[in-house]
Formats: sequence, C-alpha cells, structure tokens
Amino acid sequence: MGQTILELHDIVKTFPGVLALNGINFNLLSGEIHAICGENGAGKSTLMKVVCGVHEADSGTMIVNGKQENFSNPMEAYEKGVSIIFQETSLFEEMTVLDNMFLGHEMTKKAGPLQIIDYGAMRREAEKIFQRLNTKIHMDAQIKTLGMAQKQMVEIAKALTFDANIIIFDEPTASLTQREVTALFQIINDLKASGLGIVYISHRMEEIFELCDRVTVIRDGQYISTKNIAETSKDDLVADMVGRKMGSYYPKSETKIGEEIFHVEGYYDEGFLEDISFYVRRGEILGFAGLAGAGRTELMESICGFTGRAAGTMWLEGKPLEIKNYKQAMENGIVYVSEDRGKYGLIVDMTIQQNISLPQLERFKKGPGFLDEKKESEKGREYIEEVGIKAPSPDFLVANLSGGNQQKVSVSKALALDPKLLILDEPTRGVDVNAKAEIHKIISELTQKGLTIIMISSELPELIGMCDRIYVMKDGYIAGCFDREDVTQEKILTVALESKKERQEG
Amino acid sequence: MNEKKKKASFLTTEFYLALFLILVLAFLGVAARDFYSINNIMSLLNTFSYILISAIGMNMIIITSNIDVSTGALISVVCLFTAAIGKTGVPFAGLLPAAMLMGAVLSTMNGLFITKMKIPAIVATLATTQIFQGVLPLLVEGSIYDLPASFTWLAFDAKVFGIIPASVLICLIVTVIALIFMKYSKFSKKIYAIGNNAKGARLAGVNVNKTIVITYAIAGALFGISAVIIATAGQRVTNTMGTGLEMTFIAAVVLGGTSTAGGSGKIIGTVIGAFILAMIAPAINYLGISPNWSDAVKGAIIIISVVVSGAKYLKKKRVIHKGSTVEAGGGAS
Repeated sequence: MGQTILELHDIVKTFPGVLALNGINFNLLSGEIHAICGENGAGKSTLMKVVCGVHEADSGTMIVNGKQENFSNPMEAYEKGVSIIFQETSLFEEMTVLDNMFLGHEMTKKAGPLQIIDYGAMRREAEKIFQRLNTKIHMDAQIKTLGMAQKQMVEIAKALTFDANIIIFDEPTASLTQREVTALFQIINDLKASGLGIVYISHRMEEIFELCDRVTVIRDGQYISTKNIAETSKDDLVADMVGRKMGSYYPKSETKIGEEIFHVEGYYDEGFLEDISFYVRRGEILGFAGLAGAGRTELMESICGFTGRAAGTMWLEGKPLEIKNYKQAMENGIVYVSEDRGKYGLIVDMTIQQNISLPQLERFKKGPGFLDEKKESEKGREYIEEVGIKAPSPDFLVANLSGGNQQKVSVSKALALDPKLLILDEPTRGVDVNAKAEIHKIISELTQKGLTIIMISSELPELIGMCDRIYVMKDGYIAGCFDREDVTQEKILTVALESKKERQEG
Repeated sequence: MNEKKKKASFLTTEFYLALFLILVLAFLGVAARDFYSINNIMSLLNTFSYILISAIGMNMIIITSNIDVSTGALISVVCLFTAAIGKTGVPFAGLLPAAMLMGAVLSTMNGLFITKMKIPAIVATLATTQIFQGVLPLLVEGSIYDLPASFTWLAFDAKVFGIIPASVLICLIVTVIALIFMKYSKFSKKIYAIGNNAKGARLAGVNVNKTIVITYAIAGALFGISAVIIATAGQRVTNTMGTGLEMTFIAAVVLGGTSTAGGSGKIIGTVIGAFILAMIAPAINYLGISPNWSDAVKGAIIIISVVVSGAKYLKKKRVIHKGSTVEAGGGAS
C-alpha cells in the first residue's frame, strides 16, 4: 500500500434546510480498497458527489494527488484522475459503446484544416482497456442493447480512458447477479493490484468484508470512524452505523388487536419478489423495514395492482381476493399512499377538496354528471378538522401547503375512500419534526377506530416506535419478523444486512 | 450471435424505407409513365433539394430532443428578405450568404428563447411563428414582384450539364458536409448526448445550452439556403412562400427514422424521407388522383411508418432482453 492520494478534511455540505455532510474526514491510499458505509441517507453518495464535482462543498478541503482541488464538474475531476461510477448509470442509451467511452474527450486528428474524430485511435485505446479488463464488448453496440453488467463494464472502461488513479464505485452491485458480482470483484482487485485507489460505497456487509481493506463509517452526515477490516467485526460496524439513541417520543396507544384481516401467501414476482407470505390483524400497525431497494415499495405496489398480477394468493377478511388493478384494490378497501407525493400522490395544482374527491367523483355527483361542489367542500372541511390540515379553507391549493400538510391531504384522500387496510409508504419522508409527530398521532388514532395499517419506513426508530410487528425485507424476500416487545434497531439491521448465504445456512 | 448482429445491422429503418421507395418508383413506372418525364424529374429534384437541406437542419434540432415549428414562417421571412436585396440587383453569390445569415439570426432567437428563458421548444417556436407571420404584412404588402434576371439566375440559368437544376448541386454539397459533420465532429457527439440524456451530458462537461443555441443557428442557416431556392424560383415573391413547410420537414425527419424523443437519427434516413415526401405530390398528380389527396397521403405514410418502426422496436427490445441476459451471464463466468 502506497502513499495518500485522496484526502478530505472537514467537508461540510448543506442543502436547503438539510445539513447533509457535517465535517467529514477521509483518506485513500494508492493500492487499497476503502469502503464507505452508513445507513440510507447517511450521506455516502452525497460525499462522493462532492468529491467528483457534482456538488460543491460549502467548506472543507480536498487534496487530490498532492494538490488542493475543487472540481466544478465531473469532467474536471476525470482529467485530474478521479473517476466515479454512478449508481444510476450516466450512459447515453442510443449511442455506441465507443462514443460513450470517449464522450466529451474524443481523440482527434488533423484532416487538412479540420480537427476530426480519430476513430482508429479510439478503437485501439478501447481495445487496450478491454484487454486490461479482460472483457469483450462490441464497441459499435448501442448501450441500450447491453445488460446491466455490461453497462457497468462500459462505465469502468470509460473511467480508464482518463488514466484515473482514483476510482469511486457507488453501490455497484445493486442490480447485478451473484456471478456478475464475482466478476466485478475480480476486476476491482486487479485495478487495486495495479496501484489504483478504490473507494467502494456499499451497505452490504458481506461485500465490504470480502473486498475492502479499510472502512469509514458515516452516520447522519457525520464522520464516525475509520477501521481496518481485519480488526473489526460486523457487529462493530452495525453499532457504528446505528449509534444514535432512541430519543423521540412516539404516541403509540394501546389498541385492541382483532382477528386476521389480510393474508398474503406465496407472493412471487419474477426478478423482484420471491415467496412472500405475511398477515396483518385488525387494528394493527404492521411495519416493513429494509434497506433501499429491498423490494418493500415493489411488494405493496404489486399487491395494489399497479404492476399487473404476480403469482400468489391473498385473502381479505377470510375471502380469497383477486386484484388486477388499483381500482379493484380501492373497491375492496385497500388503499395505498405513495412515498412520492408529488409524482403519484397528489395533484398539487388542484385544491384540497378536489384532491380528496378525485378518486371517487361518483360520490360527489349532482344530476347527470355535474359535480356537487358543496358536498366536496363539506368533505374537505371535515378532513381539515379531523386530520388537522393547516389550511384556511378546503379550496386552498395543495401546492401552497407545507410538505407535512400535503402528506395529511394524501392521507385524507385515502381515508375518504373508507379503507379497511391503509398502506402508508414512507409517510413522514421529507416532513419536519412537528408534522412528523402529528402524522404519527393521526396514524395512532386511526387504529383505535379499527383501521388496519401497513407502514413502510426507512427510519427504524419510527417503525420501532409505532408498529405492533415489523417484517424485515431484503433483496425481495422477507428476511425476518419481530414483535413489538423484542425488537431493536440492531436486530433489524443485522437481518437487513445479512447475506443470502448466511440465511440459508442459519 | 454474430450472425444475428449482422442481420440486424442490415435491416435498418433506412433499408426498409429505401425498399419502399424503390417499390413505389417501380409502381409509378408501370402505372404512370409520364412521371418519368424529364420536366417532372427535374422539378421533383428541385423540391427534394430544398426539403432535404432544411430537413437536415430540422434533424439536428430533433436529435437534441427539441423541435422547431416556426421554420415555415421563418422561410417566408427570409424569402422576402432575399427578394428585397435581390431587387437591387445583388447576384446569387451575395443572396445565398445573406439568406443564410438571416436564417441563422432568426433561428438563434428560437434557441435563446428555449435555453435562456427555459420555454419549451414547441411553445417558443409556436410563438415565433406568430411573430414572423405578424411581421410579414408589415414588411411588404402582398408581394415583391418584377424581380430582375439576376435574382432568378439559380432557377433559370444555372443548370448542371445544361439540364439538372443547380439547387441539386447545393443540396449534394450540404448533404456531404452534413454526413461528415455528423460522424467526425466532436460537436455532433454533444448533440446526440444531449438528446439521450441531458443531465448525463452536463455531467460529462457538455455546455448544454450553448450547444442547443448553436444547433439552432446551424439549422437556421440551412433553412436560409432552402429559402433562397424557393424564393428565386420566380420573378415574384409573396409573403406566404414558406407557409406549412415545417410539417413537411418534420415529416421527412420522422419518416427517416429519427425519434422525436431525441438522441437518435441518421442523415441517410432523412435523405430518403425527404425524397418520399417530395415525390408524393407529383406522383399523385401523374396517377390522375385529385391533388387534394396529397396532404392526406403524406399524413397516412407518416402514421404507417411510425407505427411500423414502433412495432419493430418493441420486437427488437424483447429479443435483446433475452439475448443480453444470456450474454451477461456468459461474460461473468
């Protein structure tokens, strides 16, 4: 292992209203693989985007190959030897592999008075890089014809066209199969052996222990620790990642839990979900925990009929249930509140009352298809009071409400459908602390009225504080289930991070 | 796998289009022999030339995932501008660069509205269409007429080998330059990249706004060339010379296989697309069908070609999906 090639000191980055990074320190040696790990939203990706110039840091210094740098776009970073392989690929689908590798820094030659692209030289260079990566990809193939693993290979090849000595991988295995992961690790190890420094961002424990030399943990945007992999254990890392104390108060009230109301057995959707079975009882709050991409949202959307019918059986109140589309789900009393309010939940350019009446205009009909605005307005007023939306009147534009109040409108819209089972996907994402507490209170009150709730959340304290039972999902299957009495953050994280292999053995 | 790839690279949109074109030409040879009269062919080539020159510009704009519906009105303005200069006896060698410059200036305006003021391309160019059309009656009442022989030189006197209209030569030069430019210039890669993934292009250090404005400027210069060909065809230039042409250009581009979503499209496709569109009106005429049908036929051909290429795309996607999993697995082992 060689000298330090990348150093970060006290990096601070704020987004409007959020302190995303608060004094991060990090250093990378040549010939090492250094993992950065942390929970969802800990700031891993943000940190790397600062390094390669996608975001600019508010303060702090960065030293690359001995020189202080401050990149304003990734191209600058590339030219100074820092390459990043983004989580979502930044390739151009309709263009060829060769064009993608050299985009923005094409090799040229002189042709008379003109500088024209030198395809021959680019081909030879690409050939060399592919040999180094020990891979074969058709250079003239369009990116859209490639599989995920090949796309990633093109990204790596692109990084090497710049002669980078620092390569950052941002969750590279998220969409790869096990075999592809093995091949990728081989390449990363080869790159390391040739003296490059690798930053490896991941929250998959098994990968970090298999591949990396050192690991830096960040939590809530703060630097926590840097350890040698050989001298640490999974439990240590999990403890560092969780760290915080359960400080907040959750208004979970004791409810009478009734009979089983909804039951799913052997739910299966090729490539996303495998063999999922769970049940929920009347008046219960059932939590779904898991890391980003574990398949929680996909499961709920599938159950509600958004993505077409998957294999498996469902019972509602003891009767077999068939859901082909979301309309059927609503008619049967299953209502879903999306995690993405802006995109799927609300029409922000419409008023509160219009949003509430939208899924069931039939009920607000007057005469031969006119809208009974008085009735609509009454309904809106009813929910403003019941749910506590802070708005002067029901004909107030949703766009002018705060995030928390918009979320309350989302919930009102769902409640107006008289659901039996309410599915809330990240109900408190992006809302402030007060609104969060209010939403928790609303959820709690609803269950006392006999409503059954399934709640997906990435905030473990919230799940632990609110739920009667918690299922933990990983890679599209249910990896564990905990009762309210004996759940802890550490237990959930251990299950959520556990590898498939361990699960089969244990 | 390799065999499949060879087959796929051969059966492109351009190939099907060319096949269609040959079939129609053969049919016309049987059903309407007069279609092949020298006069008709030369007039058709002239129309083809100005459609293709503008369609190349439109193709570049559409590749960046933008659009220009003001082209027709813009050409009307440039036609009048050219006539006004031509009236004073300026020769063709002066008219061409002046028209190109005027076209570029007007089109740059579109580009600036779209990038600097962030107006969606269709809205911005709809607005400029109105502005251009609104300005025309203010400039000239009805038309500029009694233009001198120096003005109509291109249409009446400049013939290659004494018979082929010189506009064909201009078109040939433009097309060759465009072919080289779209393959060998760094700028063309930026155009494609923006159309594919504007955010990704930005991350790769491409100045997206600047590139779009320059693209509009280049396209504008090409529209200017078309305007000169159209204007100098007679001794009288009216203020509706270009009306409706934008649809023909867009149609030629779409017919040629360029996706309106941006990011893909080849010049060769546009060449064939432009030829088919230039051919429809005379073909209908010589087949003895009422000329009122020609717009409807244009529309039908566009719909059919888009549906066919869409269906082909879906099929291709399915096949590739299967193929790539196999290949990816094989690569990893």
